[in-house]
Amino acid sequence: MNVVFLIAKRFLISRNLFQGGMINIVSFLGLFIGAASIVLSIAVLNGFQNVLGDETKKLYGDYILLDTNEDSVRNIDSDFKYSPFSQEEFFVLKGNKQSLIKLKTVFTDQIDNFYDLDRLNSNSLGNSDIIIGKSLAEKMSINIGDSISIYDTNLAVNNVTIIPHKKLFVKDIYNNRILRSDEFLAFNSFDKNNLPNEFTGIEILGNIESLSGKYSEDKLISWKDRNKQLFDATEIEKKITFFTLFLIIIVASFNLSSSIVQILTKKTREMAILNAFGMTERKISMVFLTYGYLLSLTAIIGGVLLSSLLIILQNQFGFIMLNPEFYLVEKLPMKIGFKEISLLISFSIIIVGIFASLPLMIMKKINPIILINKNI
Amino acid sequence: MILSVKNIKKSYDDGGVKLEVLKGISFGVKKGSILTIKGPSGSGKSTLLSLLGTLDNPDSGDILINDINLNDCDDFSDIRNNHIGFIFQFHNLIPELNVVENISVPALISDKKVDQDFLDTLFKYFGLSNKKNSFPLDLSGGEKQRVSVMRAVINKPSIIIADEPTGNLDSNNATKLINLFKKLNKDFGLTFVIATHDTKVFNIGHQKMELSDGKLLNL
Repeated sequence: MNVVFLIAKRFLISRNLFQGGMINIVSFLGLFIGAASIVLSIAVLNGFQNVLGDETKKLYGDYILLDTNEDSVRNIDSDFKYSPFSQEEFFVLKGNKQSLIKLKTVFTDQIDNFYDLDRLNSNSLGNSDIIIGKSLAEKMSINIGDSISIYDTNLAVNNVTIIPHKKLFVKDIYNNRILRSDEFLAFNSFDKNNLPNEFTGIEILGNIESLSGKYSEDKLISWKDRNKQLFDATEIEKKITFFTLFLIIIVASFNLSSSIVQILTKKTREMAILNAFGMTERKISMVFLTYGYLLSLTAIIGGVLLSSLLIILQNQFGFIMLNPEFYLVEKLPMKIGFKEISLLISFSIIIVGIFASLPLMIMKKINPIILINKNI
Repeated sequence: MILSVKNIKKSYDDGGVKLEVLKGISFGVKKGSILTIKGPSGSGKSTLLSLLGTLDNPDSGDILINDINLNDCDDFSDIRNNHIGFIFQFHNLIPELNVVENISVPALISDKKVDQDFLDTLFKYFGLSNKKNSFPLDLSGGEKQRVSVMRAVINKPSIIIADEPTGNLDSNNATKLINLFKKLNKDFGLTFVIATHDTKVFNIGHQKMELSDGKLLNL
């Protein structure tokens, strides 16, 4: 075994476990809790971000292609599911209640094949039918089987009344509260005999990689870009959480410095012995740096492993339950990626390295004669 | 000569007063011999040994170990590791390491593979085969000092420097250690430079010298 590692390991864990005493235990716990807190918090934020993504994709797909000429459509690989659609805004009036809706008209078969609407029934959709969201139905007191009239946003008025654009039959009600979509988004199907000349866009499910080269950035837009403000806000929240909780690791690293100062003071005699037997001062410094890294990395990796285990258990058994009315999901969503763990460990290695090196910089030059009590 | 000392001088500043401890000392030690040095406390024995062991620098003069002039060296780590073995008055074992690890430290420092056959021979030789995995705290004073001797010889150094090696031992253990030095010298041809107050230790020297008033006298 490498002598530096052997001695560092034995200084840290000798027969008197954690010989360094309380300071070692405090730095260990600080780093352990810091790492675990970061992983758990980021996992929860990731989990909710995933819910946001998954629920959004159910209504809007992964991407929207705004270039809808024939060549563009032909470019879409058959590996992708896609749904051309037209979208217009209308008013819905019922009694003294009114609401503005976005009516998305799609091909009938895509209602089930492309979108995932969590409908109350599974009735097939005709071109004079409409599927509305649960919140809109509650707000306007609309039930399945009701007839509703939709009106242009530029209301057409004759002498007597407002002229409706179309009368539609409420075929189904869907439930998806993401971005409050079920308050304003409604689905209708194309009349196959009277297809529009142009679509508003084509929604696509799948990975962008093979498509990205074929379309310009302003024509092929991801769900993240369509909800950029919200998605950016969640990303900023993640970053702020990471750096705030990383302060725990920084504070614990101060303790680590104290641990190293303490062990340096206690072990001057051993340092002198090693020096007398030919160990260079650089190698002796490495012993204490390794000591710092052994202590801190054990704590950080321990914290990461424990929190990862908790994440797996939560996803498997759902110990923490949520009210889906508020949170969209029944159990607390948690997800952590290799990238985030690598980032945490890399930052920690840098911070720990800095704080472990500080005491070594002020370490006095080893004088074996004085330190071995002038025995030689 | 495995060790040649030529006119070395060493002085310390003692509260503004220059205190000359070694006043131009010269001697040589043949390979495989034992040099014992005696002298009253404060005569400079430890200072002389610290210069021979590269732990301190002389004000002037030359020290050659295996024909390497120490004045030509910038870094003594390699010389300490390969050419010199230290035996201190106190065992100075590292308490966190077990017996085998303590003995192996000099070999591990130079990234050498520990010579297991030699190590086993030493354990049998020193009668410590059953203590390999013990820690210094579990050993008696005599056992600790024997372990420190094993540590000094593991790299088969050119010279072994021992300062009052029996100073911390009872007479029984001191006698055992003296016999070990003689045996190591005879069986392995090891060269010793020993500073001591103990007449028994002093008498094992092939060369015997006395340090007095900064000068070394052949006896």
